[in-house]
Amino acid sequence: MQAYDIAVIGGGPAGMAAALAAWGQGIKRIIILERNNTLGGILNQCIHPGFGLQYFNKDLTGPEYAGEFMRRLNEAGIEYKVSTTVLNISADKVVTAVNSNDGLLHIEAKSIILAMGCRERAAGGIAMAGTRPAGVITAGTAQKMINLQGKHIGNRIVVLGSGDIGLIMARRLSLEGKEVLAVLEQYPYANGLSRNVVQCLEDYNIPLLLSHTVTEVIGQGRVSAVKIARVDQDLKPIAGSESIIECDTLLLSVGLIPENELSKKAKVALDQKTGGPLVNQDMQTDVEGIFACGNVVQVHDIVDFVTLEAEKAGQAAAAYIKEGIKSAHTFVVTAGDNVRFVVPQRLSASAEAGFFLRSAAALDEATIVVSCCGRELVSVKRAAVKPSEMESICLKKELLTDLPLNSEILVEIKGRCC
Amino acid sequence: MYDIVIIGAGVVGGFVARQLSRYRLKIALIEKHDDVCFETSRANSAIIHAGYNGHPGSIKAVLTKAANEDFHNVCAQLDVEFERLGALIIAVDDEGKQKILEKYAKGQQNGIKGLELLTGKQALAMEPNLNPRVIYAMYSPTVGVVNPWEFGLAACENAVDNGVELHLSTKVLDLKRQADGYYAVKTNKGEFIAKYVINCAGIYSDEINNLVAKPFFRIAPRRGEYFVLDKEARSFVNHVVFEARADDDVKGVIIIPTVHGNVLVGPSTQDDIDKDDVKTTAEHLQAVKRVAAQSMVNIPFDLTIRTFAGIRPRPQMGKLNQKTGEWEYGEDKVKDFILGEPEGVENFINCAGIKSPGLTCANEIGKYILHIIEEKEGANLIPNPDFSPCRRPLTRFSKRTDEEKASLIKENPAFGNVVCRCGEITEAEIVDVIQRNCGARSLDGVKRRAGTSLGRCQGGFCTPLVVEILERELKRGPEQITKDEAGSNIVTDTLL
Ligand SMILES: Cc1cc2nc3c(=O)[nH]c(=O)nc-3n(C[C@H](O)[C@H](O)[C@H](O)COP(=O)(O)OP(=O)(O)OC[C@H]3O[C@@H](n4cnc5c(N)ncnc54)[C@H](O)[C@@H]3O)c2cc1C
Ligand SMILES: Cc1cc2nc3c(=O)[nH]c(=O)nc-3n(C[C@H](O)[C@H](O)[C@H](O)COP(=O)(O)OP(=O)(O)OC[C@H]3O[C@@H](n4cnc5c(N)ncnc54)[C@H](O)[C@@H]3O)c2cc1C
Repeated sequence: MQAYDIAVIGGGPAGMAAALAAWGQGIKRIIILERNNTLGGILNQCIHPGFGLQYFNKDLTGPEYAGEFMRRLNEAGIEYKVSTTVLNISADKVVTAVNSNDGLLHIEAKSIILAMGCRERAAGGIAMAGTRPAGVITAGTAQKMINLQGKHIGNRIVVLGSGDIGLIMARRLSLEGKEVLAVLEQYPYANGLSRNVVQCLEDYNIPLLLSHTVTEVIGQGRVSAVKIARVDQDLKPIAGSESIIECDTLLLSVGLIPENELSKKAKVALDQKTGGPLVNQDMQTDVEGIFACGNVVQVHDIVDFVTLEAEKAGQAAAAYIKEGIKSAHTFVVTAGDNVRFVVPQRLSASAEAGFFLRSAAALDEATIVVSCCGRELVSVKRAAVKPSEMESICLKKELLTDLPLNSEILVEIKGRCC
Repeated sequence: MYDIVIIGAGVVGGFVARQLSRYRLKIALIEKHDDVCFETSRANSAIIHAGYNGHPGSIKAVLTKAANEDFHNVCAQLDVEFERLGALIIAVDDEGKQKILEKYAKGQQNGIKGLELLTGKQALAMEPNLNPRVIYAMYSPTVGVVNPWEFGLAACENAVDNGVELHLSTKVLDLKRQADGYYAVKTNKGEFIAKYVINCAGIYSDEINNLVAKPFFRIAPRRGEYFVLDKEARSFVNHVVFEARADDDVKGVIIIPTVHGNVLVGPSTQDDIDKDDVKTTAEHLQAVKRVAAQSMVNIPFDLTIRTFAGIRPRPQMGKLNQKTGEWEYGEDKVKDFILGEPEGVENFINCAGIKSPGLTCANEIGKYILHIIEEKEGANLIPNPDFSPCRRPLTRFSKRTDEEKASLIKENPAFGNVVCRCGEITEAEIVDVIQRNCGARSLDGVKRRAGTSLGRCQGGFCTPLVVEILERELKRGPEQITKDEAGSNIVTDTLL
């Protein structure tokens, strides 16, 4: 058994920033465990620009953004192990991991920071009919094969889902001389960031078919075509609207799911809506001393917010170790009208709280309102909100201190349906 | 020159080969696909039946009972995952209750142990998510679930370990009896001459039969479509749940907890399809949902991770119409397997029309065929001194204790490299299933042997890694690695 103050699970941007923040607070016995053969997480395969505009005030590629954190980690001398997969975390904070050199490791830590990121939703989740040939692949897997292994996954591509990865891959494949025939989205609006719709589709003349889905995969051996259809308001295919697109690849970009198998083993309570742990503003879960940050908590649009969230987790873990500060789950935060989810879902009274939330529908002239027992605490106005873009709002500490214990804090969005 | 040619390496051909390998015989197992167990034997309900459905006195009834009683032994020998979960057969109306009483009576006649009749309340106590309108049920404790493809693969591997020659990508095109009584088996890879031919060609067993015998039966393919639900759905159901009308012929959906911890819901029923048309359809998947709701409420279909379809090789027996000279086909009352030499054709042995419970019965069918050969050859048969009924066990890393894991990695560092995160499957296990006899040659070949990409990410994480391992172990370029069949390439070209 090896003993550490903090074990960080996952060496993506969240894990690295959390470790550095704890280090900055004087905690030196830290170890990061990462299953890939290098630190950096999903950023290593994101060779496009658009990272760091908020945090560094610079437009960086994914590897550049990650590289800066790797440099800082190495400078500080923080210990990490790559090619090391964590298999288990017990509720009493013993981490079990394996790699080829050390064999099986048992690591006991005073605090654990969960930073495992997220995974892609697979085709089955959308129960497509048809055959099951080669050539159906998730966008992130394709991105990894192209950008990290130098392997192409097809020549004539249809993309299902307008999530950011799908949009970015549509552009990437076009740049490689592949034909991207269309991007289909079942909702009447794009699911990715507006900037990606413009820069990845419009600039490359790739059609975006809203309110459309794939109803059948056709082909023996390899995909030879997909059948597509227009969908109604309930997302059901409309009979008679079907058509066939000949292609050899169906790229899926149908959503990301926080990766919480390990959190469950550690008995950390999860939020049904986000799929991630229930946390308070210190990013502490309901298990004392276990913190979580990054895409394992909620799927973020941009990495800069991941970094900021991770720094909070690292600082809080340090405070927990140094001062034994127990960060409470005093208030319950509820997602109200038009809010798909809100993080944090719990609050302690000890610090200000920054909320991240996603709207459940596209609204104009919107107001985000935080209230308690019918009393408005804070609100902000937005010209428009949409589900694809994360919103935020801050609640000052003073407003929290005089609330009755265990009261419910409601976060809702008012606005006009557009 | 062969003693025996077996046509078709499905679960039946595999177990026939395994049983025959007890003797020193030159045996060729011929399979048209690039891998064994590629048709019906890989897409079915995976249930090991108890034997209360078979027509009393039929071969099927006798073999099913024997197979069920011996099943854990066979699985121990072949290192195949098997669980005796027990089944509940439920009725929500009087017609269903009548069906259950018939099954119970048949079960008694067939000598099936442990069958119990239950009230609806008792059934609900055992299986809380049943349709609350359940009025009557039967409990069958000996019903089990197996890893279906592993079962057939293991038999083929064991047969090859014992000296059987496996010829993949080899399609039988014609079959002729020569003047010397031997058979000439014509394939795309040349001719095989053999004393005996055993027809284990599944849905194509009628076509093989017709090359040398009268067309006394035909296979009418019937498709069944399924949902596979995520492991999170596993706590929803504890037994295999049949609606009383759901046996292998009548419309009815089964809810099946699998050995992998997932849940299957299906099959649908669709006739008049092509024999190789294993697509799924929105219409029949919808029907599965509708019919399943009669058995259980609030089945978590939102946890679907994939769908698939299989083809039942449903036999119809023929009669020659003397007037027209044409064969006419219809459903047979006894619904038995077609086993043995057809009338007037010596040394050609059918294992045909093997629909459900063919998976259950495969090893017993193998023994049945072995007896036929023993009777014909008698003292000519010499025991195979190298025969073993066991295959070398797999090392299932995720099932080991921490101490065992540590020592495995010390022995072979590739156990320290976890490739499949959902199933915790290591590089060492993947390399092993590629290197074994009857080893994996494709992504799905690895999947079916090692269990990769069966989890909730459906290969999103491990596919790029498994492709790399296949390239290295098979010494092939990335463009030559397939998902399963020829033409199912994953990588189209490289950037380098
Ligand atoms: C295709 C794509 C495009 C994007 N584009 C942009 C963009 O243009 N601009 C922008 O700002 N943001 C972008 N993002 C978002 C940003 O990259 C992510 O939000 C960020 O990488 C999330 O960081 P993370 O550390 O939480 O997760 P990850 O980067 O996923 O890191 C998690 C790490 O944990 C490891 N891990 C998981 N489980 C285990 C285990 N059991 N044992 C050991 N290690 C484990 C994983 O291997 C991984 O390295 C994009 C994301 C993607 C996927
Ligand atoms: C939907 C469904 C559900 C089922 N559920 C169950 C169940 O729960 N329990 C149970 O016990 N049974 C079940 N069964 C039945 C069971 O799956 C079959 O009985 C069994 O798989 C049949 O095996 P087989 O080897 O005869 O056929 P197959 O697996 O079809 O094997 C035949 C092989 O012959 C090869 N072949 C054909 N023609 C040629 C040729 N010309 N040259 C070379 N090779 C050839 C084929 O490629 C194939 O590999 C189910 C079946 C279906 C379809």
